[in-house]
Amino acid sequence: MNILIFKTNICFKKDLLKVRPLLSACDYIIQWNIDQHDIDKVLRIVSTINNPIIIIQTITKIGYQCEELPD
Amino acid sequence: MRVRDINKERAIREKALQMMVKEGMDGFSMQKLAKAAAVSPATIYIYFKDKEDLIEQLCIEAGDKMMEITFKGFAPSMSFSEGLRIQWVNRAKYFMKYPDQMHFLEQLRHSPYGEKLSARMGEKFKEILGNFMANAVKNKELVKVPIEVFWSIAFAPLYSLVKFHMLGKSVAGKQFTLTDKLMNETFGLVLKALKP
Repeated sequence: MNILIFKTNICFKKDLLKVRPLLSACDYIIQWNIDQHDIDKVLRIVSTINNPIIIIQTITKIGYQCEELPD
Repeated sequence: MRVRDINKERAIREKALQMMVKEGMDGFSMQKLAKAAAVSPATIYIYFKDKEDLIEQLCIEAGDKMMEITFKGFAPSMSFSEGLRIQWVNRAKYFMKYPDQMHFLEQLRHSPYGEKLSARMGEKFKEILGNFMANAVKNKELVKVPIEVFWSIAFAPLYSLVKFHMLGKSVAGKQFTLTDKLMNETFGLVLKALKP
């Protein structure tokens, strides 16, 4: 199990509505959530594969920022 | 690859609890916690989904710990005085050993998380104490009163004494230390009040 953590600008419900179908469609994502109360709008993904690049591409493709939060 | 580290998680949990007790829950944030615990926010998110998840996890831990200590060596079938004495000793021990957890649970009770807490702990407490009371009433060791009245007479005196003890002073700033003798004396009065 891999936990991937990203900083995003997915701020509002309307943004979440755009992101939701994309992430829900990925079969390697077991669980995900966005902490919209946090300043970094942290996207947390529990995934079967350890590949943050795919996630970043998925999110940035529809116009949002997404970068891995460093440890 | 992000790896879970039990020691790190423990340190984050402890720091979060301290902060919430000291500064309250409203002003608490994952970013502040990260700074205080000297870890990156990403590290905290490895263990917790968000602030709500963190508070819930802490609530579960503190609640379970309190139940574990409170009911250690206790059975509802015990004689009334023996059962209540064990509860007194256990509750005093919990309060003195884990004051932060105790305050945190107190905070939760007055917050939107209060319902979740009582769903998890309230039923079990009611069941165990309810059985204990029913046995004691049946054996003519306890007057029949509502559980709230029972609780107020049975435990509130202990909590007042322990609070004075933790403060180091009592009414009007008088110096105070809770001794075994004082605790036994008070316990005797409580038993007397609850006898039929």
